[in-house]
Amino acid sequence: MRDREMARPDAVGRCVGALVDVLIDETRPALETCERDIVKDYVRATLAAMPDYFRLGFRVLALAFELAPLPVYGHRFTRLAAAEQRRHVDAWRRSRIGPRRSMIALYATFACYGLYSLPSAQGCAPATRIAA
Amino acid sequence: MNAGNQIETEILVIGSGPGGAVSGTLFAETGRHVTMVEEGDHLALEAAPHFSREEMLLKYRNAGVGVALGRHKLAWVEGRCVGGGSEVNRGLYHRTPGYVLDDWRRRFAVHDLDLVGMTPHFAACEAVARVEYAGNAASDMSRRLQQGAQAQGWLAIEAPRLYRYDHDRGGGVKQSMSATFVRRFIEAGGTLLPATRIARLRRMNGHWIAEGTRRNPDGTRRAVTFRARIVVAACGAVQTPALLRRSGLSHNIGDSLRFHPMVKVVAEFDRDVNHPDDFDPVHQVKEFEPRFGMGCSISTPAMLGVALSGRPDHWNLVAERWRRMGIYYVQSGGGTASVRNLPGFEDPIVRVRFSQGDLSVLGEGLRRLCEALFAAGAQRIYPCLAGYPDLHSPGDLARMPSVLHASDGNMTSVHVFSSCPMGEDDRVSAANSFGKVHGADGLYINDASLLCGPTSVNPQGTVMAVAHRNAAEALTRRFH
Repeated sequence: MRDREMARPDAVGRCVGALVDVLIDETRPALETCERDIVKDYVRATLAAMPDYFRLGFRVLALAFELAPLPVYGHRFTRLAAAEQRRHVDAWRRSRIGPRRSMIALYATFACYGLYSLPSAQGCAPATRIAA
Repeated sequence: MNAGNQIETEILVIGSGPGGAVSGTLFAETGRHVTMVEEGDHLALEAAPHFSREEMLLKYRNAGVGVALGRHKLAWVEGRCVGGGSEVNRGLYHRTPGYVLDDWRRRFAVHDLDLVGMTPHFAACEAVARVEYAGNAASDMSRRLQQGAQAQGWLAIEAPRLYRYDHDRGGGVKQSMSATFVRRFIEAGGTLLPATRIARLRRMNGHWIAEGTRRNPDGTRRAVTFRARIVVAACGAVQTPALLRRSGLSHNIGDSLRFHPMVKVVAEFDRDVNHPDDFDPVHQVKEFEPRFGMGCSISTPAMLGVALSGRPDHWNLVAERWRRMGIYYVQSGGGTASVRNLPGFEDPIVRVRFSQGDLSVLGEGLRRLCEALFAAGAQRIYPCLAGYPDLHSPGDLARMPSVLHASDGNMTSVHVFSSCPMGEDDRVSAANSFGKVHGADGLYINDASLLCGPTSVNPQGTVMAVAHRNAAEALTRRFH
């Protein structure tokens, strides 16, 4: 059942996948598609396994996140251009509404854990620049 | 006697973590007919790399997503597999400090609870699940904390682990419940049923009826019912009160959940301290216990990445410097929480509240931790708390608030207990001095729920020894 959900994500799963793509682009824009898919599957599996009342809340939030750009951009989140998707994520991350911030923080944490858990990250790839 | 999905047993143990595994083994070894059910799967220790993404999905409850709600939220994790938390933790081990047992005995009127009386129970558990020191094999990252504390004149120790070190060849074997007590349970003739969840209990004709479901390999569930003279609830400090409350039992059940809330920092040193093949860190600062303690956490690149994920440059920071970095924590016993069931939902909700005093203790602990790390040679410290500045020298400590400012996800815990305390004072306790639920014949609690408060030290040793003590007492009294 869960495997089938992973293979064919529903509207919430697709929205979460697109959000995770934006979060990955913030740190690893050159990441291969197959590795992105591993991270997305991990985040979706975490969403599917979280406590049921959180899952319901986060699914509702994800739908709100998906539809919120309609009045501004004329398209839902998954159909926005990359730059508009980044702006939308950033707006929710800095929102004065707590649940919006919490949603981005949760997905950012699990996307980050998934990203660092990739086999290619275990030795930690060479830095592209000196960190601050 | 089993008929389809109706199973008859003398003793039903619900949960296979440290409390359930020890209880079930004792009962089975005395020839009792025992069935132990576990909601998670029966997985080999090596089924997933330790502290990996795969392990989170396979062995943790809710894939590691547990959040206690409140003004200051707290994220916690629990195991959900045969062996429970012992499969996913580091196995750091302590016997309960005598002052903790004395305090519980006084405040909750717990009979026959002191260090002398508990010693044979600790010894019996340690004879099955071996406890060893890393000694010279301890990692540099772990030793740094000890060195920093000693430079400050503070007491710091190496904690032993439930682990058998192979000092000659490196590596070793974790002494989790699945590798120790659960094996003995099965050898003694006990029946282990993984993938089985008990939803509620009811009393009928002098027996307990436990209604639940078993998960099929394809993920679907089928109903299952157990009929037992004795039921031992050992599902952990959140699930045990949730089960009992669903079953109509609520007296002092789920009202007093406690944690060891923890906040972390990442310390960066001037040379490599963190190597991929290091043993798990083991050093702890005891100087300030019971107010707060300090230790060193698992510091893989993935853990460091999450710890530093609030920083825009975290990928490059970790990629470049992870070998020079370690994650360190301070933890207290502050905060009180409740466990409640929500109509229409399966998972219980946990609400937590912290007083200003609780946050003040953690604020002081955080500052002391940073002092020790600078004394150990840290070049830079990154508090894992939103809004906190990076620290470059001890002089920067003055910029840290004295009362902890923690936002979502900054406070975490891996120790959960005390939701159904034991004792003879039924104004504050849910079960008697040996875990028999007040006013419920044949129903026992025997897991971390029973502890009367924080242990200060890692609680698994206490959970195992208390379970051993209570199971031995129940056998002596023939469950009367």
